[in-house]
Amino acid sequence: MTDGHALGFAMEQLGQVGAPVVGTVLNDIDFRRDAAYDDAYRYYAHSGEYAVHTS
Amino acid sequence: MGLGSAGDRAHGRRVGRADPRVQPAAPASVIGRNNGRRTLVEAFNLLGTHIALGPWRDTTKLFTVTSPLPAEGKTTVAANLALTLARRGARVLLVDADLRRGTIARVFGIAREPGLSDVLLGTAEFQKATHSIPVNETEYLHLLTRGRACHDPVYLLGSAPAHALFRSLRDQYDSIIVDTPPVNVVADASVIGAPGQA
Repeated sequence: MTDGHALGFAMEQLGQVGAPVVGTVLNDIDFRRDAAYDDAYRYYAHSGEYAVHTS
Repeated sequence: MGLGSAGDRAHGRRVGRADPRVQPAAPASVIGRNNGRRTLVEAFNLLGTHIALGPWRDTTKLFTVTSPLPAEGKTTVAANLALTLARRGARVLLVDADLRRGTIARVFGIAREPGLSDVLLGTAEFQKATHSIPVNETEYLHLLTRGRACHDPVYLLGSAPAHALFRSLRDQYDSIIVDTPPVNVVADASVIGAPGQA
């Protein structure tokens, strides 16, 4: 699993050269686990283990 | 993050680029984990839609795929994104710019050489180094593998021939998806993703 520090360092590396980041792909997400935490995640519990965010 | 890229392998053939005579036995399929295949397809449809229709659609054709660390799913994402866009009818080139450990050739079952490094070193022509694989009855995905091992990938990817190649590709393709090494480990992805490269 990628921790927050590694992700932050990656963004810093890209930011230092001015590379525009159009989005992130989060994989291996356990939405079933999160569904137990928040109702908002219940839909995703049925839809899979990937999430996409583009800016 | 942390997805392994093991799973179904796409069917690929080494064929001439955009050769209309190609009669594929089987179209390339989305690759990924054996389980969750349907949801994987839907996730990449979503990603493909964002990439194709995002606010950058008129200004950006080259998309670099990277991750903080190794084995986090870069190649899986790059390959599936490229396949998804190609199936929609876009002219798509998937480039393996991980000149150190790139696996696009293995994933698609095609020859690794000649590839990107050979084109940049001037030992192969781009047209001859590019593969075309069918993604459905009418559409093709174009591939440029990493090619032979080279001693200084960062230098090669930042060289004048690399700039010239990536610029020329903008006129030939609707989207260029570039698979790169992890950005926290080596500078290759930063070199390609920096403004002015493409």
